[in-house]
Amino acid sequence: MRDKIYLAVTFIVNIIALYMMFIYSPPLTLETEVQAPSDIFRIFYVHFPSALMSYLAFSITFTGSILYLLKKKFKWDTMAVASAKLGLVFCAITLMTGSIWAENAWGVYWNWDPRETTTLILFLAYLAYLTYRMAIVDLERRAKLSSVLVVIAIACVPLSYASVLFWQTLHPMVITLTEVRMGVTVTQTLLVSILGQMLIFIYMLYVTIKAENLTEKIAFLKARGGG
Amino acid sequence: MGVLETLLGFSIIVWGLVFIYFLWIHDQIKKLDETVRKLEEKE
Repeated sequence: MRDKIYLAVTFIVNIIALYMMFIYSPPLTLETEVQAPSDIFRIFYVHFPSALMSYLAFSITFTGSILYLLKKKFKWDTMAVASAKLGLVFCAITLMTGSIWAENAWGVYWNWDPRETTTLILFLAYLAYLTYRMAIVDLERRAKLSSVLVVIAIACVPLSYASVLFWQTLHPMVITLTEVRMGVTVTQTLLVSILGQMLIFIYMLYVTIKAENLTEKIAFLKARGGG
Repeated sequence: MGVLETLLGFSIIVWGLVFIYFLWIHDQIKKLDETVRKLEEKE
């Protein structure tokens, strides 16, 4: 029952977010763009929350890995891998929406901008983490080695975020550590979009962890002689 | 097709995929639950 209420709230918030994205928010342009206000700006309401969710997911993976290394309990490793899977999905959405926007703003889908490149490195680092896990059969060894890999891969998150500060970039800097360069309507729409994606992310994480736990339980029962 | 239609189409595809994922993962959980129950019964 609680699941159904949560999903209903998630659905309503996301419908409101879509309404605000497409109707409430006017066509705008970012200050770094030179062209006339355009509807393509609306993709920002998917792009930014997705990037935020991928950073959040990879941070949860890092926390889970550190906790596994400290406490040696498999539930932390399960949390880490479930979150990494979701992080990859949100990172892929970020890269796709970014490319669609770039094609409209810069004329090309991909131009190896520092933000684009570091986000791609971030995506590949966690893809490598999941692939590496698949290559190790022993559960304990797999959890231990992949946790160490995450401790290295987490460096890609601040690198991706701060890339616009270190290198010259065309990527717009709408939100910095010290200021938010957006109007009230844009900020409201963005906050509702972030809330909508956050609710989806939390539920996805919950069900993915549940599925991972059951898979591990089956492997354990089979190893004990049940299967 | 205009930019607005493209974005709307993209949003529908993304939310559609999320919905399909929810259906798929619920189905997976049901199947996994069933397997766990059978293995526990066997023991």
